[in-house]
Amino acid sequence: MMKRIFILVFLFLSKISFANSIVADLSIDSININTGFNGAELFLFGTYDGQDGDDLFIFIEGPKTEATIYKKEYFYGIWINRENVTFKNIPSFYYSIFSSEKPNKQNLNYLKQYNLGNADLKISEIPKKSIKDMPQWKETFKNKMIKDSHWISKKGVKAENIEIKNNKLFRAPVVLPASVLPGEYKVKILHLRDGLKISEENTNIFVRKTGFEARIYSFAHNYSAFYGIFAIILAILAGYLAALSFRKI
Amino acid sequence: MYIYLPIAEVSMNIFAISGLGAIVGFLSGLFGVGGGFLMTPLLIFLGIPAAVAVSTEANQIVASSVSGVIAHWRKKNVDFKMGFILLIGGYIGSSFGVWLFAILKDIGQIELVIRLSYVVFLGMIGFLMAWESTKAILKSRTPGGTRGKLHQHNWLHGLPFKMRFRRSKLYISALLPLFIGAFVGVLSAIMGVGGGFILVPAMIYVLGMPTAVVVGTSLFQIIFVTANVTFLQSITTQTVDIVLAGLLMLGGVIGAQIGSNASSLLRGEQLRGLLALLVLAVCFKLFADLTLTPDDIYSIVITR
Repeated sequence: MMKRIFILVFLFLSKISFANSIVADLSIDSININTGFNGAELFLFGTYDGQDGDDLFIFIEGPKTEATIYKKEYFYGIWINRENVTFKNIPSFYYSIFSSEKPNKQNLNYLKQYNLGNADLKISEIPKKSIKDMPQWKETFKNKMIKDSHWISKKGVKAENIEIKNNKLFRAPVVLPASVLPGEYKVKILHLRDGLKISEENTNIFVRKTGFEARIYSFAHNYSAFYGIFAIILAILAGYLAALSFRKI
Repeated sequence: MYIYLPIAEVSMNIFAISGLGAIVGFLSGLFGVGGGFLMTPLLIFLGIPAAVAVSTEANQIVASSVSGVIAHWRKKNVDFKMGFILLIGGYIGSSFGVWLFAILKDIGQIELVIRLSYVVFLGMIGFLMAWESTKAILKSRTPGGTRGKLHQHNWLHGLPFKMRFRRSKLYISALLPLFIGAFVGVLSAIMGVGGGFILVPAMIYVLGMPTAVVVGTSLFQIIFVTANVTFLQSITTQTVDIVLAGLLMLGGVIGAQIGSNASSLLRGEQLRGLLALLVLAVCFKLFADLTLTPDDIYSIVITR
């Protein structure tokens, strides 16, 4: 089924695409966090005009947030959080796909030149007190974000990374975990050849809380006093009903 | 079947949650315990953030205490005057507890404090229960034995502000129930428990209340204190998840019903011994998590 859609889309896109430019689309462009939400899988697909030796780079960057890293230390027999550093302006989710395991050096230089492909380039700490070994903390933070699958990087043409046909057609599965934050997810696709940009395409995915869940969340945060009273009334009613049904049996 | 919990912001198996509610409800129906002290750590084991587990459990206890108190009310086993003094203390204690909770959450130590409190209190209860039930089992084999004094006079009875509690047949200082209420209130806010496991023994041994009114009166106090915790947690930390609470209530009601029916069929001491083992196992797991070298000494908290 997916393959047929893939081919149809390819035929369609190849007719309208201009020379050298990437045309890409997403199988879903908005994701709703609702009652049944347990992560989402979508496909990014499209066409480009490539040759052997070209590199395709895909970056998906989630909404910016703040994050605190804690370091546990052994303290009188138990492990407790001691030192911590809070970073601001970090992508809550970062997904990068390189079409090659060893991309062309000049292409990598291009990425470096334009600050692309690194989730941690723009992070800065929130100064609380002077923190020693800041570069080391940044490195640890980056590694931990990767370990916890907030930041994911995939390299090489593989079914789970990216599929490419005849240097023309690509398709990449993207899995967003259940823990994703709502917001705008920016998608950037770059087609590079010998350190030069052949073409670039930008699109985005919106993740939003919808329906019942969204209403409860905003109720709890915007009208928290009413929410608290509501929760208590609900519990009293539930308890009362339980007592009534107990009595009958 | 998964359900996304809007405040906990995690996706959970709906049957795991309501099943847990049912199992803990069954145990609380069987033993006449509140169950908060088992539910909160089990929710944490399932992957619910500790802060959400505590606040949501307080909300659920409101429901289970309401259903419990009604039966005692009918039998006139509630000392409202005593309950009122206890709950003034409880309000002060739980309000202080929620304030402390918010500060600990801010500095990233709430998880540790919740776990440590559980290790200490579950350890204590587990050992006492295991001790009591072994003694009871041994005693049932060797009939006889002496009965100790129910009510002793000590320095606690010399405190000022004496008050008469007719229903409990007591004339004691109002400061005593006030302090006990306040202490349990702090525990209620930090641990997400009703506090019956401290309140009931304290009422019997420290205040010297007749056993018949103890459970009803403690439930009466617990309703108001956990309602206060629910309200204050809602406005300060926004960690009460009503979807989670609703699922737990649903499972809990069914479980408690089966449990209280089963309690007449099963033998008390052995079961109490089993509950003690369960409590100790949960305590041990929490203790091990704190003391064993963690897989990763780093952890990341993403601000939402």
